[in-house]
Amino acid sequence: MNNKNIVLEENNAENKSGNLKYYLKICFTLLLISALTAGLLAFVNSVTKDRIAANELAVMEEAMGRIFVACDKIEAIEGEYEAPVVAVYSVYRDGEMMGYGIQSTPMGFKDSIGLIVGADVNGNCLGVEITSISDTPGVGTKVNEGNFLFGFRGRNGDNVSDYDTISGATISSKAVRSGVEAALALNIFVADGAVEGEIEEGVADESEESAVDETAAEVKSE
Amino acid sequence: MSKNNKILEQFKDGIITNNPTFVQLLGTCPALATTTSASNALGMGISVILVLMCSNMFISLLRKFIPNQIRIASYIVIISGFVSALELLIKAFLPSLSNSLGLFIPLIVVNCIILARAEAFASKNKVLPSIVDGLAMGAGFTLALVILGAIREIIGAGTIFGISVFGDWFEPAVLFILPPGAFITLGFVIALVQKIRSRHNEYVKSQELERKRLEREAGLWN
Repeated sequence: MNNKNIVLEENNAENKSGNLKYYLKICFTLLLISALTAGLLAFVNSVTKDRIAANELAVMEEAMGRIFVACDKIEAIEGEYEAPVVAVYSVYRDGEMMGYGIQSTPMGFKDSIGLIVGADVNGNCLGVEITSISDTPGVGTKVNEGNFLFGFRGRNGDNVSDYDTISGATISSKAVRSGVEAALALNIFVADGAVEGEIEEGVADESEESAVDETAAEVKSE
Repeated sequence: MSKNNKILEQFKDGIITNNPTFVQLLGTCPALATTTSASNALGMGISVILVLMCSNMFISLLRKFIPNQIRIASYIVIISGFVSALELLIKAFLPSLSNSLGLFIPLIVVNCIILARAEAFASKNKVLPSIVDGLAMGAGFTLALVILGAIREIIGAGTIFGISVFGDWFEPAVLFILPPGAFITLGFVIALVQKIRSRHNEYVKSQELERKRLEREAGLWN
């Protein structure tokens, strides 16, 4: 009886050490493969990182250039923003501030839509550009055709939610509208408007009315 | 000579007799989702070829080193490593392709063609045949995707590779760009491929019967 037990225990011990070796082998193999893969990724990332950042910057600057004609300086404003707003930039021409470029990424039909919303210091929309969209081609991408984006010009935080969506591209156009709405609702404008706005509002509005209202009228008549 | 024949045989297998999309029906998700245009389909196909060749090569190299119990986990780590690297490279050097394919590049990780080839071929064969297998299967997949993409783009947008095929009179059937159009197109193309296959099989069979009959008759005469 006793002998048998001892033999069994020995067997168990042998199995255990065998198992342990086996488990260690499995773990180390997997660890090695993962480490190699991580190394490969780190290498590729170090090669592509700058280019990807440069690509994104180029797309953003191009969109800014279309909204703020002949702008020569774009400066990021540090801060935490609530989704869908990602980043806010102030845009200058010849050292004079033209307004804010707000990067907003509302959720579209498939993926988030990349928007640049241009606004003057009082929160009137100067233009909207789409930097990335992966919605259905020919359906959701209607928001990037015709004068849908053009129609946002001249609107502000108060009346942008009245802007009509496109039938047939309701989800995408609603997404764009919500992105613009969030951008124009930022408190950067409120602060500017509250301090100087009460005095300047009338002046600023009058000077802009000519430019902005004409375009708005054009859109409406169309 | 026999080596060349083997490679040819592998290509025939990947592109025609065992086409991953039309015959094995593997990787249907990207085949349906990314074929909204011929150029998207081509981009997706080439990405899959690259990942399939790299992962097949590495899995074949490591086939004796990876313990059987953790092979699937190891394959997935290797495949996802290559896919992530490819995603970064595409983002850096082909930003427009990365915009149009979006989420479907990272989703190559779960494309079952790649895991299927790793499990069924690369884990049992030498390095060179595994690379050839990756190229052949990838080519079959790409060909299938481009066929689907071209049909959908011609009917759904009136263009091919972005070039207008018909004049302005053509009213594109947007349905073909949408998901239902993908299923309809895939269904019809598979039906056509099966028709051709069965006709070919019948032809081979009838040839065989004819040969046997002739042999029998020759035997009778003797």
